[in-house]
Amino acid sequence: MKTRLPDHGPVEAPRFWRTLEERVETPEARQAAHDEFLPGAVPAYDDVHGLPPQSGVSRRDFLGLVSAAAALAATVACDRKGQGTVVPYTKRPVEVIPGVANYYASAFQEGRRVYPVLVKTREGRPIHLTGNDEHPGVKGKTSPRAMADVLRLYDPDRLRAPKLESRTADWSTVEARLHGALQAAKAVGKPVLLVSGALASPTRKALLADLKAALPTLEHLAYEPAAGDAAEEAARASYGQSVDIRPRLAKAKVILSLGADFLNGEDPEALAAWGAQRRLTTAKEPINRLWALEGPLTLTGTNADHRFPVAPSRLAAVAFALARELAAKGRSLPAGTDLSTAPAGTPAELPAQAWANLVRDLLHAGREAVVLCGAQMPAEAHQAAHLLNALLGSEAVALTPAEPLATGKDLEAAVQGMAAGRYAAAIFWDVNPAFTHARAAAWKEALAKVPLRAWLGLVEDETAAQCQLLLPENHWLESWGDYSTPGAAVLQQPTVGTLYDTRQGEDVLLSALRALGASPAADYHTYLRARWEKGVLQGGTFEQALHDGLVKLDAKAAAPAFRGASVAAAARRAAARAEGLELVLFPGFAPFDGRHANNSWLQETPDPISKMTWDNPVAVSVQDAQALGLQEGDFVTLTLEGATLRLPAVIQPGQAKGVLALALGYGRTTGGVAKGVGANAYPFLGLDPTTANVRPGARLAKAGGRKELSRTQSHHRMEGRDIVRSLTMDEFLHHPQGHHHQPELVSLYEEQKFPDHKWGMVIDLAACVGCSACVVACQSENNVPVVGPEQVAKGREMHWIRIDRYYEGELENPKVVHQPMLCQHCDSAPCENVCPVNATNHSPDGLNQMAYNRCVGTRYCANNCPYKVRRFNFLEYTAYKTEPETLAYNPEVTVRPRGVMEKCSFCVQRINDVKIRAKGEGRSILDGEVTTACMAGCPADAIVFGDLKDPKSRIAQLVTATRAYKVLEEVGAKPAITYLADLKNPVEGGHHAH
Amino acid sequence: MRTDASVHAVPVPEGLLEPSLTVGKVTPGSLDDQVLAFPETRPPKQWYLALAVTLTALGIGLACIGYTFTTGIGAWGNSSPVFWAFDIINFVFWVGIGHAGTLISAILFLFRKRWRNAIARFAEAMTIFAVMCAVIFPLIHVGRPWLAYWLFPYPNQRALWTNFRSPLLWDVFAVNTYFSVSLMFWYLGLIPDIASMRDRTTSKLRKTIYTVLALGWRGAASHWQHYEKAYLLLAGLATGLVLSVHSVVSFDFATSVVPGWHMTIFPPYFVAGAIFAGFSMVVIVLVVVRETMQLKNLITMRHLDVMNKVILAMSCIMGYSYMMEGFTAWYSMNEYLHHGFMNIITGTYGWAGWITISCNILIPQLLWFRKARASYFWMIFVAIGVTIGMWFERFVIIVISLHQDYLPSAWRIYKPTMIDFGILLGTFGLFFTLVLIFARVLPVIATTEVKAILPDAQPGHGGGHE
Amino acid sequence: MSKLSYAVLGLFDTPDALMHAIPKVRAAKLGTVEAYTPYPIHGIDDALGLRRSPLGGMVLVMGTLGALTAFGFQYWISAIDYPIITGGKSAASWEAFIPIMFEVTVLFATFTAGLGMLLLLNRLPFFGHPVLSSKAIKGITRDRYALALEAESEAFDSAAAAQALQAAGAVEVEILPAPDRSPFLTSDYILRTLGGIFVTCLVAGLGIYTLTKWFPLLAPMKYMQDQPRLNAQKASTFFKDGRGMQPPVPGTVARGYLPTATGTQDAAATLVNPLPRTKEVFALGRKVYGNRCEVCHGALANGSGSLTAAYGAKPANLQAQQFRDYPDGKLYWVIVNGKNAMPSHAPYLTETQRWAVVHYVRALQRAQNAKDEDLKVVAP
Repeated sequence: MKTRLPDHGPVEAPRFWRTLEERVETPEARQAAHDEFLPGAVPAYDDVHGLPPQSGVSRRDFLGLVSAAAALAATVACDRKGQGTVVPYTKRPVEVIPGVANYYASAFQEGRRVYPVLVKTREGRPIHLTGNDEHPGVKGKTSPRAMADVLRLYDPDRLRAPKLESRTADWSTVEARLHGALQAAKAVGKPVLLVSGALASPTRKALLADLKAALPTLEHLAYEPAAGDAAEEAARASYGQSVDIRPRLAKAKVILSLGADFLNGEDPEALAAWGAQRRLTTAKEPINRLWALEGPLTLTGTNADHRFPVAPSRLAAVAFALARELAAKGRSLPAGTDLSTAPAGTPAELPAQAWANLVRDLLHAGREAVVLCGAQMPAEAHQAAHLLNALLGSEAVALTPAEPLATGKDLEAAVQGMAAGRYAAAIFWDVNPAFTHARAAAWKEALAKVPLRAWLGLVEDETAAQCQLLLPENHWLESWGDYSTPGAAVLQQPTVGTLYDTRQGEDVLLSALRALGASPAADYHTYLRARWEKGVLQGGTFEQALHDGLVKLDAKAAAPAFRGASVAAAARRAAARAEGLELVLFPGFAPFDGRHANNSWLQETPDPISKMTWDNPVAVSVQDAQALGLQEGDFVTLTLEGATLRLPAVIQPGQAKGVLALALGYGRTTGGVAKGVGANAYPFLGLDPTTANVRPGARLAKAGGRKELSRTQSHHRMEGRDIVRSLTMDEFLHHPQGHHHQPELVSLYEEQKFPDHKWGMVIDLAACVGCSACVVACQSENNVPVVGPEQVAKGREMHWIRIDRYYEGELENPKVVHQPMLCQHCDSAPCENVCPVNATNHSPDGLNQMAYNRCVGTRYCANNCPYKVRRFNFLEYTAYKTEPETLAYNPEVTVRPRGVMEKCSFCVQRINDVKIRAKGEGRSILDGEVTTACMAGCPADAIVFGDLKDPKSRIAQLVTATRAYKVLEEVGAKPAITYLADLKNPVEGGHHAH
Repeated sequence: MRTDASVHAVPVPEGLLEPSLTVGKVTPGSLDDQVLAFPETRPPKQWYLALAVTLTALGIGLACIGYTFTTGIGAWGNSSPVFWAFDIINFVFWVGIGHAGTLISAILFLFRKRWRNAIARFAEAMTIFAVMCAVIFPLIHVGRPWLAYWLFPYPNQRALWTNFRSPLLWDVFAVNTYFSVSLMFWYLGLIPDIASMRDRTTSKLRKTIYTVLALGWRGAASHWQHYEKAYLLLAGLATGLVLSVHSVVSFDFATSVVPGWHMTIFPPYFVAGAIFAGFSMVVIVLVVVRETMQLKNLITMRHLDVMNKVILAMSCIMGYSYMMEGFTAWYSMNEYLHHGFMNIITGTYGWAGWITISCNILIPQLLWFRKARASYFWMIFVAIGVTIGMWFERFVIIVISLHQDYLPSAWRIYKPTMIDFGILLGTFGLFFTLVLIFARVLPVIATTEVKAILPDAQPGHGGGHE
Repeated sequence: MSKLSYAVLGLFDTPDALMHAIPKVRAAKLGTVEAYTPYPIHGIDDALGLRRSPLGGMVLVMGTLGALTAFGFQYWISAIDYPIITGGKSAASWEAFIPIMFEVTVLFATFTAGLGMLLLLNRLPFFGHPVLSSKAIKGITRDRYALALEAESEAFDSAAAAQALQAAGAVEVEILPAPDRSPFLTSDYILRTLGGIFVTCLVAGLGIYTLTKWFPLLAPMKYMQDQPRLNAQKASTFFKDGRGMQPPVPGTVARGYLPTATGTQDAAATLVNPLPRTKEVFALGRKVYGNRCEVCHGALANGSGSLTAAYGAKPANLQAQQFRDYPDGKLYWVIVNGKNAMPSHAPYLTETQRWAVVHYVRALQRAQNAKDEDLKVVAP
């Protein structure tokens, strides 16, 4: 039967009745229907059925009372200490479950590089970064600085509100001032200068184009002080345009590095490819060979199979000689190439045999060989590298046209323009020329002549001090954006609302656009979305793109052709010889060009080579140090063309004679952390772009006094101990275990049983290049405190994982090995026996675990640790920190106060997270499901973590590898970490790389 | 049963008799008048002066400890890899000093060495004071001193217990036992003397105090019988204890894996070192006491001579131990051990190694000469040398072994801070403050024991010899 | 003598004199013979015929007990009460217990020897003994040797005793009266003592109380219960809204949370239910419906749930034609976005659950509006 009803009709009709009585509604029936619920089951009052109130307490009231009583009891029983208010979500967002992490795909730009990242957030707040696993290039990996940049979001020094004439103002007034200036400039047609970082974002580019249309007098400079002017110049010379040159190591069998440091961790793609080629299971597998010619000792150099110290100014000569050699051996030169003026024959730096081998290697490898040149090397060296790649027809290098970068020349022009009062206004967006410009004084003087100076940035810096308008900018984790990377267009989405009264730079420009009469989108989010929906998305939705963080593209841009004609001039310049010491200026490992100088995580991460923290001493070669009678840490005065600097010196084994190396980005004068750390090397930067970072004619003199270096490693030799094993391919083939006999270890006690899991780790020293990504990843994941330079100098740094670097052989050009060292989670851990309070003990799944709150701090465990990986909170490093700093802490990890011992926990919080999830889904843990922070952060995949009890697991395979060994096995601690011996592939005792 | 002097109840041939242990005519009465008089007289100016000095030192020490408590162990020079330094050095040093007392009062008692009687009391007192100085360090050296009590196995609300496999916990038991046993031993010896003081003093206050302390001792023969038995048993137990305590302290090192610590020779070597250091300290104090308190007739040059002989013997044992360390390092062919030993004599801290060797081995050889043993200057010179040397021996063992162990990447130089020195000074202040007070309020010589060996002290042919 | 006396003391100047006197005095058999000397006299215990001291046996027993206690204690703690694996050794491994066993043995033995001697055998402390208040005591603890004849019964004849002692060569004789109340047991003494103890306890108690109350909370002392990190559900002084938990930025997409049914309800009409119509799906649908929908929409989806009347809400009657004509997508859209008074259920329902509910609602609608041909469907 059916009844027609009005929509949302009164609830009475139609009545679905169960009995006829009910249908006819006799009172008895009603009572019965009501009494269906026992007395007390319903509230005492009953206005639903209009019945007389029942007597007695209803069940609901009773339960209410009971729960109230329980709650009261609970509150009363609460401990006085550590109680806090609970503030839940009023309306819980769909994706956030309190206590469970979310992951957002986003992207981070540094110079020309773009890092697609995955942001781990807790309750809508970023706490940890890794690479975007969806991206075809980086495959879930990223760079140390990218990982550390989450700390910059919570930098307490950030500018929190706009400022006008160094007085806090609101956006409207500040923008009004800016817009007024722009409109005026437009009216009178006076140029406006906009200086920003490299343009890697197509939408930002489009926005700038719109702005240019609205304001024709706009002059934009893309300024990257650390990019190396020479590279830009050389590219323009060789290809007639700016080119982004990226190695494709996966395709390279022979790699020749001309001072190129492509393994320094900045390029996860390169590291992944390198690791893939070095992680050999059998000696039969193919392996590449790396030749390194370089002045300073770089990570790439330390990982090379053959390394020869060559002064940067000589690289071009060597490279051109090589080109002639190859040409002579029948390689056809590109059209119009004239090498007649180039130097020829075996260069002095290389032994004849090595030279012959190099030539042969390159000839044999042909298209599978690649020559890479360091960004800071002189232009002619770059051009020589371009020539060699063209000559070899190398397929192992990707040339993509790039947005041009402003070089020293352009900056100089700008300075003159400003000095001449050409500009109506100047806007500085995420750049700090007042610090990074070689002639900062002249710059400031000229800038003062610009009527309106606006600054857009995060933390007030040297440039901000020069500007009237300070516009606080969002951190990139608070902003929208997009980038084009090889293989994919990448999206950047905010992972937290703006912490302060800030805006993202693009929004500021949009409002400027509006003020200039254009009518663009309301905000950059919509602008971006509109552009993507119009152009980029092929069918897919914007949400999907945000979800993945990218849209894959296979845009095949035509590789720019090499211009042979450009060679002759370069070759001529290469023949010229420089006199005296030459100073090489390179971006610092921690601060890059200075933008990260306020990041204490990075400042305390040891430089992978010198193991220095919090400082940039000038590196002197062993020979020069002897000549000058220098000791480690001696103060020296460095003089070059009028610029003088007093700073400590370190003696750098392997550095070419006559070469001084100094890191840029230190010596900032602003920022709570950055201020006064190290010395500012920018004044030494050359104005001539072709040799901007390599300056001949430097003078060095003892200045008296010595500095206690804040260095994490003070002894650099292995003392002939069997700590890091390194094999040539021959040794790998014939006796991989070398002559090391495994000691027979007997024990009084029976072995511990591990019921379900036995966690372990394998570290492949052949793949590990020492880039320190793991150190930063661990610091961010495990709330590792920062202690500062004085404490580091005392040996109190807190890193749970450190990278030991040893020199072997003669100091002029030593063999260098790297070894990540962390808690070995020994089965018979010496530390556990000696703890009087059981604060450190062994878990049933093989973890050496710390109960922080049980630790009284006798430090006996640390004494008894053969690996010295235990860290003690000698002072209060954490407890007095306040928000926003504390927002960066991982809520899953206890923050340790002073007096407590700590150490690597194998990321037990991650293990348990997976355990819980697996249990919830009623399955066992999958192999590779548990990743420690260091493993997830390692771009070369050198670290493998897993369950040793699972015979099919990857780790179970690896521990039986022929290269496998354990450090200090003879001590008998039975470590759970297995190392795989380092591999070198020299010509003698190596494989033919082709 | 036969007690100490009772061996002399049987006639001894003249030739084998020891010379008298006292000089001049000493009767029980004169002894009391001489020794028990001190507490009844006002101390001299020099005493107050000395007290002022020691109290200042103590004050400095306390200030440094307070600073450490508020800022953390970072106030000290300790760092990675030298996680232990002055704290444990001082601990071992003071525990060692303590051992002389127990040795003299217990072991020599068992060996029926009657010359011990005159100096036993002082030595025992020094034991107790030294151990008091020592126990400070385990308490303050922990990172969270307010939780130091967690080192005791007590049932807490989380049902957590201590780890009985940790040598540090053995230490807790050993040192506490040692302290309480020494105290008991000392007090038992004091009871009859306090009784004498009770009965001779005139001041009401003193009388009350001594009455309570003497527990109503009345010298009944039946009491003496049990008393002597107890004393003998205590001596036996304390002997075993004194040997065990420093062995246990040495286990802190011997049971670890640190090269230079992990050695089987450590227990005997530590005990010998302890006696060595303790005797030197006793000699220093005795000489001063003997001079300032006019006890020449009771603490004779012969006592000092014997003490010096013991020091000489111990020094030889130490020399042997050092050589064995070197031998082990060479013979074991263990590269780490070898490096560790070479480090002691040629490393950055080589100077410390050589101070140890010269102060503990070379200088004491002077004592082969009777003249040196009979001269205040030389015996003090040696004794102070040994005290310094033994402190540096602990420095060598702890700091040198730690600062370069297995992985060269972790090696690092250690530098102490002023706070470290302040606390060391403070413990000396505490020690000598207690010594000074003790010398004024309690009998510095066990009069009862000395009375028992005076000439004619025993019936028949017993007692001393004319 | 009229007054009852406790003992008679005879003083001697040399130990030899004492030793010679003892046999004589014992022979007199006038009472218990006891000697009082400043230091132990050898051979005197034999002369007085004293029993050997039982202390040795006591110490042996207690020492053994100490060893056993230490072992039991350590074993129970490490292996039974709270077994913890350290250094790969089994919780029951006993090797490391030996040092502490030794120490505790010594501790027990020493205290037995010391305290046993004092408290048990010598019955000390005892301040009331007559000898202590005698004139002779000054000498006894200095350089005199006393022999005492002590009363064994009322019939003790002090005069005879005095004579016997003099005969034995005592230079001086002193008759000790029967012990009166010791000066240390006078009422005022006791009162003062008790008062002192009481005051001490009071002060100590207050001290300890205040210490435990505020001292542990002072600056340098950390217990890690208040972590500087920002946990879930924690308040924050930093964010303007005072909440530690912040909402995600509108428009962002978290991994695994691709938003669905984002457009208008009509736009959602095109969505198709991805789930098959299986028993499991309906079961799930019913479960979810029962948990989340029934209170308002009613067990029969007719809009008369148990809360409806109570709160005067007007939930949609899903049996209405309008909703029966709805495509699945539009129902789904409402579940995700909510409508009118109905809130979004997206946070609480997974994708599968949402679609399962849609299926179940369909089933309810059909059940209430069954047609005859439906029967054929289920016909075997």
